[in-house]
Amino acid sequence: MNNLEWSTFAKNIAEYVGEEQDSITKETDLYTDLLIDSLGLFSMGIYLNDIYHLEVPLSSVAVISKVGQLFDLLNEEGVLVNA
Amino acid sequence: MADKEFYQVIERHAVEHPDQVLITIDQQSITYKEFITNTKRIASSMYAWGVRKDTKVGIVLYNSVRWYELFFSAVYLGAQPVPIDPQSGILELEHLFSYTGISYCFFAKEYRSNQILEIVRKLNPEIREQSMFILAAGEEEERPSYIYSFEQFLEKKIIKELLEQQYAVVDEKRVMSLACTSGSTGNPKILTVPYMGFFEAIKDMGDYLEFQPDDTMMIGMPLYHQGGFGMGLQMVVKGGSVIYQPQFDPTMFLKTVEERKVTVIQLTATLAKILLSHPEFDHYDLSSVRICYFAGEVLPADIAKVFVETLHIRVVNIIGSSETATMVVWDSEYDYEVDPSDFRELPFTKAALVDETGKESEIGELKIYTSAIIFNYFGNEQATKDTVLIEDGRRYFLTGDMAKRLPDGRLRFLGRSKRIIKRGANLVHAEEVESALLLHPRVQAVAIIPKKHEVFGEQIVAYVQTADGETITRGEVARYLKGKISAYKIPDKVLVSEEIPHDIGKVQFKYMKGGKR
Repeated sequence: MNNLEWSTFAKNIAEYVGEEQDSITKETDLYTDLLIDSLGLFSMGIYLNDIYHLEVPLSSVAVISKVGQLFDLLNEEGVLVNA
Repeated sequence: MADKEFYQVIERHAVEHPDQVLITIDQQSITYKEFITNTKRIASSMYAWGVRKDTKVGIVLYNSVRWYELFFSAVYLGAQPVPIDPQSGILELEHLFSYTGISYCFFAKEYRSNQILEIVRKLNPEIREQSMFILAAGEEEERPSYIYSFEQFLEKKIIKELLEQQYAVVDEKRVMSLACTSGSTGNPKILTVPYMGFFEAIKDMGDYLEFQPDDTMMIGMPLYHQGGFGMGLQMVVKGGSVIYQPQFDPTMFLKTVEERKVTVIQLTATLAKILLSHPEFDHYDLSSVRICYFAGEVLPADIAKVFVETLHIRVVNIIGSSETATMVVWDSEYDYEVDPSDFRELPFTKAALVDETGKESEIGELKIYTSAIIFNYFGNEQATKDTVLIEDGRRYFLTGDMAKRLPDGRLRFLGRSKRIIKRGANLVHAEEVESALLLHPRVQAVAIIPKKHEVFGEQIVAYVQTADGETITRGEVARYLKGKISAYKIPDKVLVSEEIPHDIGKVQFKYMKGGKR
């Protein structure tokens, strides 16, 4: 477990996609609510990697659709990489 | 039997191998024999409703067996299928309808976040009146009367003998389909694909790759993409099986390759990176795969190396386009000592590099001959004149790709001469996104710039000058553009600028409302 804090994570997502932080919940859909496509999701993954220095397999990112799933993935399976 | 016609070749395979699976998508498969039966059934209804030779038939569907059946049902009658990306928004659809004169449109209710049925409801009434709309996937009880269900469509049909008389014979002038691609004038471009030339190109590539009836090909690119469709067809004309996924899922992809003993996999570099990153990649038995067929993106040498040296799979990397089909190749069987980005012509293509005056040069724009060069850009004489050249009775195409001729005769691509952003396997014309964004009431000026991305090539960055001087977020821009243009064209980043400089990178101008520069 990487002990990520949800409200900070939501703030980072909000900043990336250009939305209000309040609108980001664990059920927010990356595709239908945030209008990210699959390539945009990889781009977001790299942005989060730069912040948290946690890496997850691209293949796991490919099947995610909710912000909460992304949070859980980084939290539970993210591997610390060098800053 | 003449080997010049898709439908007759497929029918021949249906006679020789009736139970061979032709296509599988998601949980649905059909055999060659079922495909012939189904397409004739649909063609019968198409004819009964008024589809004739050269009628434009729109197909706005995601990867599905029905997509394939609809396409070839139209081909049977000599009509012109117009496959449209199901991510298309209202701006794209209205343009395509009015430009091409689509008079029958088969569409899905929705695809991912794109509510296609809602878009159809909002289409300009003049466009709605020109076309019959058939909901070919997804249920909707509350439909306006001008939208037919697929069952209603099938209720009308003609007798078998009359249908057989409607089979459209192929000649040199016959159009296979109208393909849609991103356009530089702010609107999508429509390509007139030549039937015989396209058939020849497809068959030549299937022969080059030695596809056989016992081959199965798993394809990463979508059916509504001319490349994804064409590469699958290379296998179908040889009697093999093709598998498409409704959406790319790396675990399902690997599982299917193992279970179905797939022999050919088609990927882009991005999809390959995703697969290779799978934590259980090594647990899957991929020993059935003999070719990995790359297209659409630059292929890094280290990825090619993994496939060739670790997985012992032949790698074939091609560059092609909707306008040309396959142009050039790198094949690990013959080219392994050079970088996968240094290409050679195929035995059936011819490449030259030309300068601005059209003279051959060691560095210049790629001018290519293939049998599949488009007849023209539909309804766009200027674009046709600028790019399709007739020499010695053959059509050549000026691709807009800059390249260098190497001492060994190979070609190294240097980039695009036009403002095109390569986002994964998609090409996005900057002008198209700018035109859409300029309609936003708060946007005064905009410039769209590519920015390098380590996974998928290039991102779309929008520099925006607002009319009120206030900020505008990517979220606002994305919500505005949703349903107007395809999702993959929506900018990845939006940066607000007080005044857009006259040069940002290579952009030497700015777009202003009212046409001011």
